[in-house]
Amino acid sequence: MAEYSLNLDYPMAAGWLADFVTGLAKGRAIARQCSACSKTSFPPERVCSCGSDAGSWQQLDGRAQIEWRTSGSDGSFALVQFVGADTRTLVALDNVPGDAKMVRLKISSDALGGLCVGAENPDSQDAIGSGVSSGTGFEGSR
Amino acid sequence: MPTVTGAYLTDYNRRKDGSSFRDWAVESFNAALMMSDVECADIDLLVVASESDFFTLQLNPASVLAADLGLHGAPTMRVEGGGASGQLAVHVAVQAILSGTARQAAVIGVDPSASGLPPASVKQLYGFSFDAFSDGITGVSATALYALSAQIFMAENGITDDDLAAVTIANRANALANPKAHLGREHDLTEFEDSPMIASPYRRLHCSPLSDGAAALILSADNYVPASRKAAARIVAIGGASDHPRLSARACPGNFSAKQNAMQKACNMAGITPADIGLAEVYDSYAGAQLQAIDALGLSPGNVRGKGAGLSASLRDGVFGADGQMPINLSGGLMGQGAPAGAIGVGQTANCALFLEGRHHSGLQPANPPRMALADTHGGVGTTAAITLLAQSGGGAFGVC
Repeated sequence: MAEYSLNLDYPMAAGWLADFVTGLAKGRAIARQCSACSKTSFPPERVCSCGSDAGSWQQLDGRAQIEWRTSGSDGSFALVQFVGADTRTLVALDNVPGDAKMVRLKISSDALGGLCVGAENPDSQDAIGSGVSSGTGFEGSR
Repeated sequence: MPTVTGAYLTDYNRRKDGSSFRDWAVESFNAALMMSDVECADIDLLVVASESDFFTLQLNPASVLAADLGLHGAPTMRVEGGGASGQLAVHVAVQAILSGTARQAAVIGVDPSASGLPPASVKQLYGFSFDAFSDGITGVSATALYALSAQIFMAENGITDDDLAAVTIANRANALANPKAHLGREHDLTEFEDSPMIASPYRRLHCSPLSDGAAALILSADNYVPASRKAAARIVAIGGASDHPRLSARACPGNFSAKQNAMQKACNMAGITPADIGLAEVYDSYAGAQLQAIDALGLSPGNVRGKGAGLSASLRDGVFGADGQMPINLSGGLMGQGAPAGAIGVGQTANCALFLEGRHHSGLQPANPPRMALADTHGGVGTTAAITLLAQSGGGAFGVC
């Protein structure tokens, strides 16, 4: 039997998601707020569930609440709700204690640079507000 | 609607004999063609389902298979939709026959999912079969995504770990009666505690295997069914729907809403309700996924969606067993029969046709086949749903028949 080894290098152009992807690389949660219904999606939805594609980019403060988590030999992952977002987010858990409820977005050490959260510093939990910092200069629509 | 004049599944297993996916495709096609009594020269469409070029290192696989099969000049295409690829290929062939552009269509599903790439590579690729720029770049596995969805469903419907185990136990026991199955096994509850945890609540015993294999169908338009095959089963309806590819973006991540919508469309097309179905091949990629599918398809008598006590009770009461009111996965399903990705949906429809016709190779062939059967397939975590309804040739009472 012949065996082949195929190494592929993918240039993963982020396109419309560039703000979201580059934000993750800096540890920032860049969400999309719909102009029509104000729903904030993270990861950003190109077309809101209300049908509008007009919106602006908003930076969330990076804190999230764990709703469901799974762990095992495939790693630890969770569905979380970022403060200020109206949608859930799938994240990788990086050394998050089993009883932790709040987590914070962090720069992934993985080469993929994906959505990753670590344990939230309890000292920083005193400022839970809307979670949205508006006017970040990410305005725009499709 | 087309008649399933030919249907065949190869063994589903891990090949160690040096054979190629092209060999399995030829085996399945030749056997289905012989069953159909259709001449090879009359095949005027070849639809191939193969989930990924990564598995075969063969782009445009339909072109090489057409050459291997002697289908010179016939239009060929590959259809892909993740785990739903095989059933989507069936739908494409049905639509071609309904449109009049094909009279005798061959559908082949094939993949070397077990003996091809190393399992770790397959797992990595599957991680990118969801939204690559959000879910994919977290490094998540398909098992972890399914596990999160199952957790929510279990919490909302009172499903227990023992219920998950019961699905594996039943499907692997059914596979014992299927000589072509990959994992016919006897399991008991005590084995589950020792089974490695892959992504809670899923242990290895809750997961379907990666398999090698192929399945083929010959679908014949109404006026082109050979006289010897007038009694063959017919496809009476198809239904498709989709959900958001990201579990996290769904309002109800524990529900297979696309499957529910696809089922509604198929039932409307056939003019039936789920209660008219007497046998189902359901997409059990994971133990919980089978229960989520049963819920979405409305196959659990007395179950109220979202209040699944009825589902758990039906499972315990044997409703889905070979002698039950709604036999499910008599073939063994993905869990027991096996899961060669591109072949799954084609094989499920082949299983249904063979069971309805009373000529399935399984020892669980019902002595009195039901009038209707359901093949249920999906890609993603219930993202791309594809449903096919079949009926015995005498099922003329159903809407479009």
